[in-house]
Amino acid sequence: MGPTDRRSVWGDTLRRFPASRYTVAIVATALAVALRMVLNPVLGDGRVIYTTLFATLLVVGWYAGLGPALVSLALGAVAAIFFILPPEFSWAVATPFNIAGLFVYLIFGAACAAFGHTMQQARRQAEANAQLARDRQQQLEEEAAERRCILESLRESNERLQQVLDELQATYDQSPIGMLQLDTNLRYVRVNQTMAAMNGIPEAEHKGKTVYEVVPDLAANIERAFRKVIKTGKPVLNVEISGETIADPGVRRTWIESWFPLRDTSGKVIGLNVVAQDITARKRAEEELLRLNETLEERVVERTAALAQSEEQLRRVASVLTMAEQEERRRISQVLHDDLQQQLYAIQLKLDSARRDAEAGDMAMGLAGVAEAEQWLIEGIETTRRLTVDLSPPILKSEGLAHMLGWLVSQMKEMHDLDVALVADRPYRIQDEDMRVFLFQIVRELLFNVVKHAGAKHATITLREADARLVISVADDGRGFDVSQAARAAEAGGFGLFSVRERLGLFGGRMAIESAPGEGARVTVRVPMRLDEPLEATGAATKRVPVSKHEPLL
Amino acid sequence: MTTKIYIVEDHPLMRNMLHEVIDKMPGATVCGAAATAEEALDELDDVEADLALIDVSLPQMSGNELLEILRERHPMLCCLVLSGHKESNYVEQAIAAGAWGYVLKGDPRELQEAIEAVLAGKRFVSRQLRTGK
Repeated sequence: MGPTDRRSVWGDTLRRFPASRYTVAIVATALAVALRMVLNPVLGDGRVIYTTLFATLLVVGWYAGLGPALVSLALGAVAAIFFILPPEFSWAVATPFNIAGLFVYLIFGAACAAFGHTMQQARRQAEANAQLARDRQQQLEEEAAERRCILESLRESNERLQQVLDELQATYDQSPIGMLQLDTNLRYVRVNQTMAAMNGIPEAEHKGKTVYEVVPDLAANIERAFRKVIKTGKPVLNVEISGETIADPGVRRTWIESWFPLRDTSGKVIGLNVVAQDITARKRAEEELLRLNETLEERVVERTAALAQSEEQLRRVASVLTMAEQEERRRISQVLHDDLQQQLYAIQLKLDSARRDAEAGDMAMGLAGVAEAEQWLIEGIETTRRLTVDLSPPILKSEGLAHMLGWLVSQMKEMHDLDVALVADRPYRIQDEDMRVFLFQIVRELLFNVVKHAGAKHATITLREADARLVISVADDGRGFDVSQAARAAEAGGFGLFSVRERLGLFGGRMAIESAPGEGARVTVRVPMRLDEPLEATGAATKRVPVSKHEPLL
Repeated sequence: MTTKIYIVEDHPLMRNMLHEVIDKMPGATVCGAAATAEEALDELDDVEADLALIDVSLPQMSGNELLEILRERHPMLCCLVLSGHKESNYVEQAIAAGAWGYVLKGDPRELQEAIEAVLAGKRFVSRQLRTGK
């Protein structure tokens, strides 16, 4: 604790307890009187009487205040009269000079007390002022610090705001959506880069120009939307507009645009914000998709028709095959009933007759009957053999189509008395048994047609390979026919050639018919097939078969 | 009195055999034979037959068609159908067409029995068809 602080403690104590101030005044006065009396031998009687008292008054006035100083003044005057002024220890005052001195003491003493007190007040005031100044300084420093903080915050806010504005500007500029702002005169206030690119004019050159100057083809639509926004005060959203711009002259583009009113703080509309997205590519894609859909529908219709046609063809083929199967069954049944069954009945009757002859004792007649029945039995066995061969010719096991057709040629002669020539430049080995049998049946059916309808005596089968196809033609010298009439008859559900054509289609084959009335006929069958065998060294081979005496089965 | 029987059968072997069998029957003789219905119609106008033995399966005009024509042209002629078919509809159609009997091929005794029955004015259907065995 320093001296100033100690003084402050004293001053505070004295101010807090008024009685102590007066005690201090009394004690100080007593000490001053005692000190004067002690110094009396030095200073001499009646001289410099009030020195210590003046000093005491200054001190008391300084420390204790004016009241205690006045008390000290009064006590000093009384003590001076009694103890110091001659005569000592008497209330009497010896000389007028002493009385005058006493008055002077009272006056100067009061002045000293007042001076001390005033000085003390001044000091206190000065201290208070200094404290106020310090407080003020501190306050100012705090305010300055606070202001610095505020300024720092403000600067940071400004920086953040600027950053946000920069980001917004960058977003605005680089947005893939075109953006623009118009004033109420439809003049551009700002556009972003995308919109500038859409319009085909640099960003900076938009400002101040009207929409009629920049996008004349679209301006009417924009103005119409603008009027609507002004009138209703509400945004106009997602409107599709189309037109041309300088950016892409001659090309009609499409945008989807939204217009928003731009208002000032009072709510008055002062312009228009527009966002626009170029949907030309999407639009074209939609149109393309629509076109494709239409095409797809057409294709679906075509495919459906083709499918229906295929189904119809398949149905007819199935029907033809079923009919062919039924016909085959009927034919077999007929062979069994008309030929074999009758032979067996006859044999039964013959044996019964022979038995009766034997029972009647005519053994010779009986034996002759048995012999005859035996002969018929041999014929019956031959009938079954021919039927078996006819149903499944063993020749079908052969891989060479030419060989198989050679057998067929002999059969046609034997059964139908039809001379058939076979021309083939190689064996035409076909591994696929189904295909092999199928081709055999096709040729057999064509030859049956010749027998049944052509009235021909000669026919020719030709085998050759052309363009990775096996080509088989069956030609006859018969009466021929009108191909178009035959085709119509086939369409109407006829069989024969139509049946052949339908079955060929299942193997990817084709059939062509060339004929005219009186000019014979040629049916050419083409089936996709690659043959990996060399040509025969002899080239074409022709085979003719002799006429058979047997009754035809087919 | 000899009964004159006319045979209509397309299969030559069977036709000949029927001829032989009938000729051996007592009191019966074959007065003619034809391979087709058309041929039979031509001949029956000239032949005084008591009974026509007709195969139901003929190559062109069927046995039933022949029966219908004979019913009109020769109402007094007894017609007996000879067939290998055991199906009942064949029997019904033959009877409806004018046949007096329907006998299956193969059994000469039953054939004789059928001929006798029909000539006696009775209906006859093969035993096998009646009993189903």
